[in-house]
Amino acid sequence: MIKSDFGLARVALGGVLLVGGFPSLVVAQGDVYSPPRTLHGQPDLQGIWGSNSITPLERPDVLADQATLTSEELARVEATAEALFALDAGDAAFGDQFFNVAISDADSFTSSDGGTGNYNQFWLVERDFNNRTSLIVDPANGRLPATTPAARAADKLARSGRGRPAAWTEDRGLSERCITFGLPNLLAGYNSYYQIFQTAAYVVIEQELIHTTRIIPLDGRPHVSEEIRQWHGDSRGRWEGDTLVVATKQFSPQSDFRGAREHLFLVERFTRVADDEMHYEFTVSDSTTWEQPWTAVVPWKRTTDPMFEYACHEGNIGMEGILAGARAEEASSSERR
Amino acid sequence: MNAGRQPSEELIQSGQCLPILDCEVAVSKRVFWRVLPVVVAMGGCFVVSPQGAAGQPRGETGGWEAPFTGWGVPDLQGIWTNATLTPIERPDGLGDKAVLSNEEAAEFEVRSAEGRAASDRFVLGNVGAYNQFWMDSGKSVTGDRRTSLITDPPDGRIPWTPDGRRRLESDMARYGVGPFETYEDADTGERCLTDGLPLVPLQGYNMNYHILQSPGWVVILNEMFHEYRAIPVDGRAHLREGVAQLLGDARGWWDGNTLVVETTNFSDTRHFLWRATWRGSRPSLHLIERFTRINDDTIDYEFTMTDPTMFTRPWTARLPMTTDQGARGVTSGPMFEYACHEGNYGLLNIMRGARVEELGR
Repeated sequence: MIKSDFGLARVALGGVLLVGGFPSLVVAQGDVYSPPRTLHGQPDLQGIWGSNSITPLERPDVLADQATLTSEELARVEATAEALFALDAGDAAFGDQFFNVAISDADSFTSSDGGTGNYNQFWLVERDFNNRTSLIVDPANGRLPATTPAARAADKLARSGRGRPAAWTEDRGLSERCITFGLPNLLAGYNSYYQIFQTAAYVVIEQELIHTTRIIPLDGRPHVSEEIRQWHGDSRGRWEGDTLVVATKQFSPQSDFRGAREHLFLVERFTRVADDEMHYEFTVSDSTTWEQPWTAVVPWKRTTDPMFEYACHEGNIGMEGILAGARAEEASSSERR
Repeated sequence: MNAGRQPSEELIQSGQCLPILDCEVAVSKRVFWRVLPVVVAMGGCFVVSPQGAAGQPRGETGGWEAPFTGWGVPDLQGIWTNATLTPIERPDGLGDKAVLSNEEAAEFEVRSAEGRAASDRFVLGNVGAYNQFWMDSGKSVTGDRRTSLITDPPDGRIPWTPDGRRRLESDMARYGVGPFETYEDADTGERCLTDGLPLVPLQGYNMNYHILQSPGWVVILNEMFHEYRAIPVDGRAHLREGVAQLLGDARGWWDGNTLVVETTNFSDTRHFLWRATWRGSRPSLHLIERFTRINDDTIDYEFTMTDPTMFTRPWTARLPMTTDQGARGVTSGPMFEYACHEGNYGLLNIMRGARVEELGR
C-alpha cells in the first residue's frame, strides 16, 4: 500500500519483528448481510483488504475477564495511541505492542531496539480501532491454550539461542530472510494487505507482505501427496453457505507458526460481513504443540488503495550488518582473551 | 559455479551455440528442494470449458470456438508452459533460413536429446552443475519449425544499438566469472529476485504459468520465483511516473480476442548484472505483450520490446504457450511452491571461492 511505495517494504532485519497478534472488530454476526455474487454465483470476496486492527492476539492480563472495552476505555486507548503515535517520529509499535502500550502507561513504551535504532511510525499504517481485547475467541479467556511439554522444550531451546551472535543467515528467522511471515500471517499495520481474486475453480490470495501468493483450488480435488511439504502447506477450499473455508496441511518441518511446524492443521474461514468488512477466522490445531485447538477472529477492512511490489532484500543490508556485527564481536572478544 | 561450462542464454541468442548440450546445462546455481520431475497426474488441471455466449467472435482456427469467461472476455485460464527448443535468436550458422524442414527439425530434436544424455556424464575436474534430473526444458521445436522465436526483424536477431551491445558484452563477460565482491555482483536471478520480463523459456526448468481471470483482472503466477503479476484490465491509468517496480506497472485491455498488456514504470536495475541483458528492468523499457488463445491447448504469446537506449528499433518475438505439457516433453501437473534460497549455498560458495582466490593471489 502507500507505505510500501518507494521500496519501504523491507523486513525488519534488526531483530525487531514480532510475529504477534492482531486486528479486529466486533464480530459481526447474526445480521442478514448478503454479500454480492460473482458471475459463478459465489459470494464475492474480491478486492483489497487490510488487516490493521489494534486488537492483540491474546487478551492482556490486566483485562482478565473483559472481552470488550467500555466506550470510555476505548476512548482512552485512542487518545493514548494518538499521543504516542500521531507523529511519524515515534518508534514503531508493531502488532500487539500498539494495543498493549495504549492500554497502559504511554511512558512505558520502549523501542524494540533502543541501541541501534528501529523503524519509526512512518513505516506503519494507521490502525483500526475497535473494542475487542483479544483476537482469540476460543479459549474463551482470550488466551493461547497451554503448550505441550515437547513444545515448551523446543521453545526453550530456541530461546536459548536468541541473542547469540548469528553464525550464519540460517540463525535468523524466516521473515528476516525474506522467505515468509508464516501462515496464518497476523502482523497488523505493516504491509498487511490481501488482494483476493476468484474464479469458478480457484481463489487467489495475494499478500503484499513478502509478495506471497496462494492459489487455492475449490474443485474438490484431493490434497497432493503427503510427502510434499511446503512453507504454506497445501490448501483446499470449499464454500459453506456464504463462507469460504480453506483447510491447509502438509506444512514443512521448517514452517513455523508460533512453534507449530509440520503437524499444523489450519482451517480458515472468510466471511464477508459488510461491503467493507471481512470476518477472517482461523482455527489451528496441532496436538504436538498445543493442548487444544484454538480460534481467532480477525477483522479485515476493505481499501481502494493499490498494492505495490514488495521489496525485501533489495537495498536492505540488514542481514549483512547483523552478520558483520557478529563477526566483529567475535574478533573483539578473542582479542580480549 | 560451473566453471568453464556456462554458455548462457546470450550465447544461445547470439547463435554461438544451439540450445543443446552446453546451453542446456547452463542454468545458474539456483537449487530448489522440491523434486522437479515427479510426474504428477494431470488430474486436477483446470480446463476451461468453452461456453461462449451467442454472438461472440469466433476463434481464428476454422470451426474452433474460443472459450469465454462468464463475463464475456476470452478465457485464458489454465497452467501453461512455453518450454521449447527453439531459441530466441536465430543461430548464426543458419543465415537467412527462417524455417527448418520437417527432417531438419526432427534431426535437431534428436541431437538435442543426445546432447542432454551426454551432458549427464560426469567430467572429472569439473565442479559440476545441474544434471538432467533437475532440468525440465522443452524437447521439441515450435510447431511451425521457425529457427528463432523473434519474428521481427526478419533476420531473427535482436537489433542492438552499439551501447546496447556493449552492455550485453560486458554482462556476458561477467556472468559466471565475477568479480564477486558482494552478492550484488550476482545476477538478479541468482539472488532469487527475478529473471525479468517478458515470459520467455530461458530457465531450463519451471517454465510454467498459471493464468487466472476475474472481472477486471488477469493474474499470472510464474512458477519460477513464485513471481506473480496482477494485471488490471479495467481501463485504469498507469501508476504515476515516480513509482518504479522490478516488474514494472502492467495494464491490460482486450483487442478482439487478444489480451494486450502494456508494461511501463520499470525500475532502474541496470547496475545489477542480468543473465539476459535485454530483460533487465530499466526506465527506458516499454513492453507490449499479446495473449491470444488459438485453440483449447494453445495461447499464441507475442511480445514487442521498445527501448531506444538498447535497440535500434522495436522487435517482436512470438512463441506458443500450451496446456499440453507432455507435447513439449516437460512435466505436467499442479504447480508447487518455489524455493530458491532455502538450502541453497551457491551464493555463499561463490563469495567464499572469490575470497579464497584473493588469498591465493
